Amino acid sequence: MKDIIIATHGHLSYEFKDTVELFVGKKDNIRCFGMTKEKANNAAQKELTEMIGDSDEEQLIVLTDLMGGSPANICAELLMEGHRFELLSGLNLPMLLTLLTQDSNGISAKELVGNILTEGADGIIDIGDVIRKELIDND
Amino acid sequence: MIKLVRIDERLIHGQVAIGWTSAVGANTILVANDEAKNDKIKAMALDLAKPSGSKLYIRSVEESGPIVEKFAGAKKAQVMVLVRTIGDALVLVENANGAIKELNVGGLKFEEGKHKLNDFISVSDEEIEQLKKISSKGVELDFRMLPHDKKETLDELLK
Repeated sequence: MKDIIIATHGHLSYEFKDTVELFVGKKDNIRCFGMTKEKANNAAQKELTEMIGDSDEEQLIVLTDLMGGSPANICAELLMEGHRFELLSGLNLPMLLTLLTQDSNGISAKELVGNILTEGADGIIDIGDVIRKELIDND
Repeated sequence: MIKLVRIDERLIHGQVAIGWTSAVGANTILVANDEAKNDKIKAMALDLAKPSGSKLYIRSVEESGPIVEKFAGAKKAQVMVLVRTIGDALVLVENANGAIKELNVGGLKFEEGKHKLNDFISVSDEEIEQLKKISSKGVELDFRMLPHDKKETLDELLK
């Protein structure tokens, strides 16, 4: 099982974990980081570095909410320093669900990341447009 | 092959589309529901909600029994069957000629006049009788919202 860190602004990461557990049940392999407004950048850096330092980086996938935001920036710096985990931004529920439902010992973190990106993008749909087209087809 | 037969008042929703489909490895969904069969809008909504890459059939409750029996012998189709009520499940079981061995009872949320058995199962007196009838036909009842939840039996819930 992969080691997962969700790192976001505010309490979003904790809510992501709670919400995804509605679908797949309790998950012990998810840890959360929240960049709350009272947290200084140094403290955030220290906290994330420790969380990542505690993991087997071959098996670690870090999911962040926003490219250019602090959680993503801090983790990107760690990669530049030579750390070797997988790092993604733009987290949505389809991405997290794909990760949790497809994860197994038989799939590498890299391969899993490919599927996460595909499903994450496929989950963004203009539903209004789909329905409008269906309704025209049915006429 | 029948992978799962489930009672769920919401039919296809996130916990079913994601949780159950992947846990049981279903590639085909049969919704046995008269309203959906007769209402284009409901059918369209179900089609939108189905997991990507899966095949969806919407049939009346009455005609679904023989279809379930046929699916039970199919090799490629890994089928999840969904009904909305306990009454519909009873009709399905009665018409499936023994093809249903196990019935998962999931979301039946509380409504006025029903007994709350746990957080996600509430039933009327009539439905308790229907459940007993289903059970007496040799169908194992399994009360669970999600695949990883602990299975509970009717006896445990009625205690």
